[in-house]
Amino acid sequence: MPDGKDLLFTDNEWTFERIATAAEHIGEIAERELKLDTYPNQLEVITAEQMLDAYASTGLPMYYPHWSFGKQRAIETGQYRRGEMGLAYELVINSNPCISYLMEENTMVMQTLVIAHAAYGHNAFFKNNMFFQQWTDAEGILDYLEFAKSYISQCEEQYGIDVVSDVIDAAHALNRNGVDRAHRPQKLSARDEEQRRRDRAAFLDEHLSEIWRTLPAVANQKAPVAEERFPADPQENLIYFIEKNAPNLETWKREILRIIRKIAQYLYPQGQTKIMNEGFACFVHYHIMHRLHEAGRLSDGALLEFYASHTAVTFQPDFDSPRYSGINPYSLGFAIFQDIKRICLAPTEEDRRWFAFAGDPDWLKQVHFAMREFRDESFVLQYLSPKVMRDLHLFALANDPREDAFEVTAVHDDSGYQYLRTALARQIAESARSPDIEVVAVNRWGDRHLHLKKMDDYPVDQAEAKRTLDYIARLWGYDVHLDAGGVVMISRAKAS
Amino acid sequence: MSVIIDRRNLGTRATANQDRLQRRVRGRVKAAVERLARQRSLNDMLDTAQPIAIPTKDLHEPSFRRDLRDAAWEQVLPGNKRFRRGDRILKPNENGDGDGTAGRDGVGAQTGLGDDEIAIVLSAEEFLAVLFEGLELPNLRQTRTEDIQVEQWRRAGFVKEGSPSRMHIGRTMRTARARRLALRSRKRQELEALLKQLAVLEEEIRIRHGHGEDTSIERFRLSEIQDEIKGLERKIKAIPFIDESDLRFAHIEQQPRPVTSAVIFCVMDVSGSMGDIEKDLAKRFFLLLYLFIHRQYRAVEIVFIKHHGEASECTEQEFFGAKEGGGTLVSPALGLAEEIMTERFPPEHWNVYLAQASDGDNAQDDNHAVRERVLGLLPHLRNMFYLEVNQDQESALLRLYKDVAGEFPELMTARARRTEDIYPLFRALFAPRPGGIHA
Repeated sequence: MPDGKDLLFTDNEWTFERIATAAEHIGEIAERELKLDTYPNQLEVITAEQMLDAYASTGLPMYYPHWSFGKQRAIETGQYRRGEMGLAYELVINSNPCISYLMEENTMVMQTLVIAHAAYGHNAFFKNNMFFQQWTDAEGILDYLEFAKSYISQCEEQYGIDVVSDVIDAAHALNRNGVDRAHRPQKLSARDEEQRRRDRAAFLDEHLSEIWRTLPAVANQKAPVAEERFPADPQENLIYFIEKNAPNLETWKREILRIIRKIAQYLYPQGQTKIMNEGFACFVHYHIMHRLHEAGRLSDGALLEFYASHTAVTFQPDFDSPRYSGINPYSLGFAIFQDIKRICLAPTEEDRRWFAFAGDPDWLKQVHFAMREFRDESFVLQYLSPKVMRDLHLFALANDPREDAFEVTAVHDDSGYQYLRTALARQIAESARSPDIEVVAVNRWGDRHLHLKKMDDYPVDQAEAKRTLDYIARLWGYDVHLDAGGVVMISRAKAS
Repeated sequence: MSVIIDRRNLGTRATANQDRLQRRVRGRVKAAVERLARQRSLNDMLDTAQPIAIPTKDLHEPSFRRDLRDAAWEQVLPGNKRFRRGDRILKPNENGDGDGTAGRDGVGAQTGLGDDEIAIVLSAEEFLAVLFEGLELPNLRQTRTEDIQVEQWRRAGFVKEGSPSRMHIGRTMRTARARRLALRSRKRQELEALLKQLAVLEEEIRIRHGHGEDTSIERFRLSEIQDEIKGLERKIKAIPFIDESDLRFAHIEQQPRPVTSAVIFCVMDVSGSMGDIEKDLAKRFFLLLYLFIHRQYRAVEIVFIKHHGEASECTEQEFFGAKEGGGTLVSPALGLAEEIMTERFPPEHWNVYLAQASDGDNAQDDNHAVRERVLGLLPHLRNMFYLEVNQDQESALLRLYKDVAGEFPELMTARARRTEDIYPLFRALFAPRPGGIHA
C-alpha cells in the first residue's frame, strides 16, 4: 500500500512545478507503457477569456481577423456568462510542437487529466493517425497561419477591410466544399508558400486571360465544337475551381481563397476522426490516471475527482432524455477502444466469431493499429462490437416522409448487430459531409456562366443554397446556376 | 520533456474580430442607437453601457446544407428500452413540441437559423461616437483655425531667483548637497595629505630625539602643519549647509493657450402657449446639443434663460418645469443673454453658443427689437440655433430669423412637431454642409 510520500500533490492547487512534475510522470507512462510516439509538448496556461478566443477561431492559436469569429465569440461568451455552457477543460493543436492549453481555473487533478488526455492522447493521435499524416502538416501550420494572417492584414490595408471581408465571407460559405476528398494535399510551408504565391501571381497575370480569350486569333478559326467540355470531369472542390478559373478575379482574391482552402483542408481530418480522436485520448488518460494512482502518485480523492470528470465527459444520454444531443463521440470512442483491449485480454465466444484478433495477448499493438489506420466511418465499421451496441442499447429508426410513424429497423440483437453497425457507419460518414455539389460545366465561349450540379440524393436547403450561390456568383463574376435535382437555381452576377 | 508557458498575461485577442463585427453590423448598431436617442431620455441613456441586441440572422453565414425535413432517413440512437424490430412509433404532432428525438438531431437540425441574438455592448463613449457620427459643428473648423487664445501661467523649469513662496525645496537641497560634497572633498583630500605628513614628521622627531639629534627645524614645520590643519578644519566646518547660491525657485511663465471651454445659452419661451409636449421637444433638443458640444470642448457651461413677458436666469428644474403666464417678448431674453455674456463669459475667452426654443409666439412690435438684438449678438457667437416647436405655419419670428440667416450662416433654424422629429432634425442641422441648412 502506498504511504503517500510519492503523491504528486496533496492539496488541489496547481503550480508550474507541479505541472512539470506531473507531465514528467505522465510522459513516462505514456512512452514506456503505452509506447506513444508524440510531438514534443508545449503546455500553455491560459485564462477563460483566452479559451473563449481559441473557441472562436476553431481552436487555432492565431487566425486572420473576421467578423464571424467575433460573432462566434459573442455567442459563446453569452452562453458562458449565462452559465449555459461550460468551457472545455482543454484544447489542443495539431502542430509540432503540440500546443495544449491548460485553463487557469482547473484544479491540479484536472491539469493532470488534461496533460494525459491532450498532450499525450491527442498528440499521439495527431502524429500517428494515417489520415492526419496524409492531410495535415503539423510542422508547417503555425508558420502558415502567421503567413495567412499577415497576408490578409496586408490586403485589408491595401484594399480596405470591407472588400476583404466580402471575399472571406464568400470563401467561408464554400468552406465545406473546398476540400479534395480524393487527393492528398501538399505540405504547408510559409516560406515556400510566399515564393509560390509570387510565381502564381506572375503566371496568372500572364496566362489567365489566355484561357478566356474569345476573339479568334486567326480569322478562319472554327468555333469550338460543342462536345469540348470544360472541365473535362466534374470538380468537387469549388473553392479550388474558382480560385484557378474565375475569369476576372483579382490575384489577391485568389490568394485569399487559397488560404481559406488550405486551412479548411488542415481542419478536415478533425471532423472525420472525432470519435476516434476523443476515444483514443480518453483511453490514454484513463490508463495513465489509473497507473498514477496504482503507483501512489495520485490520492484516492484525486482519483474520485478524476472519475467525476471522466464519467461526465463520456456520458451518453438516452435518445429520449432532454440532455440527448446525438451520439457522444467521447462515449462511443472510449467504449470501442476499451473494448478492443477487452477483446484481446478476455474474449468471449461471440468476440471470437466477430473479430480475428480476439485473444491476441498484445492488446497494445491492436489499439495502436486501430488508432493509426482508420477514420470514424471505417473505425465503427471495423470495431463496433455487439457488446458495445448492447451497452449503449443502440437501435435504428427509419423515417419515411409519407408515413405517419417511424419504423424501428434494427435493435441490438443477433439479427440487428450487423445492420446497426453498417447504419451507424453510414450515418457518421454522412453527417460529416456536406451536399456533394460539383462544377460540371463552364460556358467558356458564350456568357461564361458556371454550371453546378448536386451529385447526391439528399435534398438541399434551398434558401441556404440560393444565398451560397450568390456568393459564388460574386466571385465568379458571371451567372451561376445550380441543378439541385429537380430544382434549378440561378444567381445572376451583378454588373460591375 | 514538456515546455510549460504562462500565456495568461497575453490578454485576449478578440479585439480585431470584435471591431470587424461592429463594422459588419454598424447599420444595425446605428439604427438601434438612433432609436434609443429618439425614445429614451438622453440622461438615462448615457448612464450605463448599452447592450444592443443584434439578431444572429443578420450575421448568418450561408453554406450548402442538406434539408432532411421531408427526406427519408435512418438514424442509430442510443438508449433503447422496449422497442423491437418492426415497431412503429407515431410521429410527433406538427405543432406539438415532440420529444425532440428523431430527425432533429442529425444533419437536419443544423439547418435551423435560430432566432438567437447576440449582444454588442457599447460604452458611453462609443455610443456617443455612433450617435454623432458624421456630424460636426458647422462653425467648428473656423473655431479651430482661429482659436481664441488666452494667456495662462505655466510651469517653465527652475530659476535661481524668485519669491520665497515659489522656492523648490527638493531642487534646493539637491544643489546644496552637491555643493557641499564638491567643496568638502577637495579640502578633505588636502587634510588627509597633511595628516600623513604630520604622522611622518612626528615619527622623524621621535627617532631624532631618540638619537639625541636636533629637532628644531622639524618642530617648526610641525607647528606650521598643525596650523594648516586647523585652518582646513575650520574651513570644512564653515561650509554652509545651505548657501544662497543653492536656492532654486519654480519658474512660471505666461503662455498663450487655446480656449477649450464653451458656454451654451438655452433660451426658452415658458409662456402659457408652450405645453408639455413643446417643452419636451425643446428639452431633447437642448440635451442633444449639450452632449454634442460637450464632445468638442473640455468644459461646457450652460446658462438657462426663461422668458415670457420678461426674462430671467434660472436653474434647470425651473427652466423645464416653469409655466408662467403673460405675453411673450423675445428681445428681453436675448438682451439678458448678451448681458450675462459680457459679464461672465466674454467671447474672447469663451466659445459661446445660443440655443433658443419657442413656439414662435412673439408680440408683433417686438420683432424689430429682436432683429437688432440678434444682429448685435451674432458676431460674438460660434453658432445660434433656433428651434420652433409645434407650429403649423412658420411664425413671423422664424421668418425673421431666416432672413437674418441669409447674412449670418451661423444662425440655424429648424422646426419640429413630434419627439421623433428631434433627432433626425438634429442630424440634418449638423450634417457637414457648408453654411448649414435652414429648415
